[in-house]
Amino acid sequence: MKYFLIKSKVLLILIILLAALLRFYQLGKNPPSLFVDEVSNGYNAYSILKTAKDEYGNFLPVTIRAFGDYNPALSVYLLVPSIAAFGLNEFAVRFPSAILGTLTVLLTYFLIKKLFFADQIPIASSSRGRVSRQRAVPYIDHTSNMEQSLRTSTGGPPKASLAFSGKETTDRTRSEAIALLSSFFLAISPWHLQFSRYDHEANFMTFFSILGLVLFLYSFKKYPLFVASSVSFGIALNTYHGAKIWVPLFLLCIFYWYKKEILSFGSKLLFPVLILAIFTLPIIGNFPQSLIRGESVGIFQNEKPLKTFISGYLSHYSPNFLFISGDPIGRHSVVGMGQLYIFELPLILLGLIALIQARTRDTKFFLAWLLLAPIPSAMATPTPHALRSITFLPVWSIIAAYGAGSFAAFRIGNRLKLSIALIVALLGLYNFATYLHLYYKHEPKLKSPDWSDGYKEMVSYVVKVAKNYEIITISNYYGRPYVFVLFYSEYDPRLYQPQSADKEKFDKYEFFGTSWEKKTPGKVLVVRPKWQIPNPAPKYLKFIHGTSGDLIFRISEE
Amino acid sequence: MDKIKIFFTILLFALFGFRIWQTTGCRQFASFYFNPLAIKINVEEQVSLDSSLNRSVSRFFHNKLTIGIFEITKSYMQTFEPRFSLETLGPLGLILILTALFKVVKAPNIVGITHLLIVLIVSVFAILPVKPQTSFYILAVTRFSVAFWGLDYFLRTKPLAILFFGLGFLTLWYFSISWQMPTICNEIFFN
Repeated sequence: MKYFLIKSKVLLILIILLAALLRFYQLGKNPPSLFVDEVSNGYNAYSILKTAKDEYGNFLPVTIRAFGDYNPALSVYLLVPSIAAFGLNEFAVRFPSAILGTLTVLLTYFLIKKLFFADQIPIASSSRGRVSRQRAVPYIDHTSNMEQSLRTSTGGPPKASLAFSGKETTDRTRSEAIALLSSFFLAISPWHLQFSRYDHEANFMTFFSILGLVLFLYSFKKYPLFVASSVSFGIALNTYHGAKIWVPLFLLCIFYWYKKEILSFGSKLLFPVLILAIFTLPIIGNFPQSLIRGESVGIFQNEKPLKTFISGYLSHYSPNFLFISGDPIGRHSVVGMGQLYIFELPLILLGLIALIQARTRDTKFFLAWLLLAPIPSAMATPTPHALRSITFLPVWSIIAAYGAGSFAAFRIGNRLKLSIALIVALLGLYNFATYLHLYYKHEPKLKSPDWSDGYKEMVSYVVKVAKNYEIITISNYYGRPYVFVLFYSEYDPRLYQPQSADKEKFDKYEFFGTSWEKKTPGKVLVVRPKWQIPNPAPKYLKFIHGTSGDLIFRISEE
Repeated sequence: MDKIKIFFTILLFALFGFRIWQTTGCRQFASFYFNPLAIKINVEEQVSLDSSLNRSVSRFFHNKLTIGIFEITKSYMQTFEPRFSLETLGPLGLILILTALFKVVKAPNIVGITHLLIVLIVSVFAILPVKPQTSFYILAVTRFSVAFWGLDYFLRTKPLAILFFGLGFLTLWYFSISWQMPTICNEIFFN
């Protein structure tokens, strides 16, 4: 057992290293370019770093106005140290997402150790059926049981009646294996990898809400951890628009299943509640702005909101979305793959069956999480939406691991079991290799337009020749060119803030819509999208191509 | 309680019958047909993206076998789309199906498992080259049959029976408003 625990620690380290490798490898290069929201977050973080103000000159803002969507500012503040360390570039902008993504893999391990590991202990001393009924026993007791068992396994004195049998050791081995497998599945999860390599607030929400849950589960009889948990949930609340729906929902779910432990803190509860209340102040203080994003994507603008909600909710359980095609939005999935691996399908089915049959409080809480996860996403359109339903993570990985664990306990011949396991492992390996191939070879070619590809090269050229021109005019056909110029030219925020009100121009840069005509004398550098070809043809200086080789911009002198 | 069960069964038959009647107005049913040509197209598309890569490596990832399995699975999975189930069964039918699945999973029995296996196998016919209308009726009838398994749950207590009625009305309303049935029917005669 001791040997297994040491081995499991080594395995955990290897899994974390794999998670880090998959999240950091070519982070600045793939996805092929920074998306407009990433660029905006990056420049606002840069502006805060240099001036303590955002691009509009707001001093240490609690919401980031950006393109008028007033995102909670916390995610931008998280970029500040990264940009200070690595400079204003793709790697720096995606670094916090990658690091928090890697840490989420580690958190998943600790989450499972507490969720299902504590459950396993009493199984050994009684029949499974009896244990199910015994779950009315406060969780605190299970925790102490677990500590007790750990002490025993490391040679400490065992307490009272808990004697270790061979089955107990097997159960603990299985639990450890489930925890490791959950982390492993999350480490290689296409869904999680997609958003860990992309700077988006939703990824921060996932990390902080899971951290909050882990701290909470470890906090019984440990008050400081309980306080830390409330801080983590408070942070999660301020990371992303969707968190305003998800975090309260998740907290209610936790309270429903663990109210005994929560209420056992008595009057001490006041402080964590106060912390949570303080964290809601930025939302309450900016309530009208908070609604802007919701109004643009929410289902309440729809003719039939209830029907849209039900249909949207169910779409997140679509097998095609989960295992075959994924989210149709380019940045949210890999073409030719679902959000999850197909080899996980039988494991997930097994896991769901095992979870339903287990009927313990922890498994019920877990199933409730699975059912609640798509609610924030279903309240907006389009659906299914992999980003807004990131609240599903790491649930699917855990269910797959649980399924694998329950398969290991099947009473079938060892040879047959091993053969099936080998087939699934080979299928998994093939799935994973295919994912890597699609992500690194196909994605940059197929998805470059979804990632605002071409802007970096265009701005680099424009900045290089800018001194030769009186005006530089850029088409806004591909969306918000001003922020790309600010970002890639590292334009001084002190100079930009006073000019920020007018998004049509700043300094010598101007931005135009469908067409541009010369109205003033002097040399002008014009950047047009590929399809805009004026007659007569101007003097072209440069053509900008994307990663896919497609023409994106034509740069001319007029 | 038996009388109530008969009454509930008749009610459910009536609801599902109403839905089936609605589909008689469908001029063009949505197809689940798996087209083998999709494999060839997919392989060629994928391989063309690997122009800079060794052909054998490219073929390792994009070949007729793996893409074939992918395309067949894709068509097959479409028959289990929750939106399709919702439009076919309505909210009550969907909840009954979930209850039925929960019941079979919680206490596995040979009849329940066999029934579910039949549903899984029969769904394969929907992706074969049969008339889309036939595919739909195969899928609908098998799903209706599973829904009846969940009926017992609502006979347990009075509040659950009332809930059943509530869901029944909701389903009727849902069938009336989603007359168009986009995942079932591409074109409809009457509205």
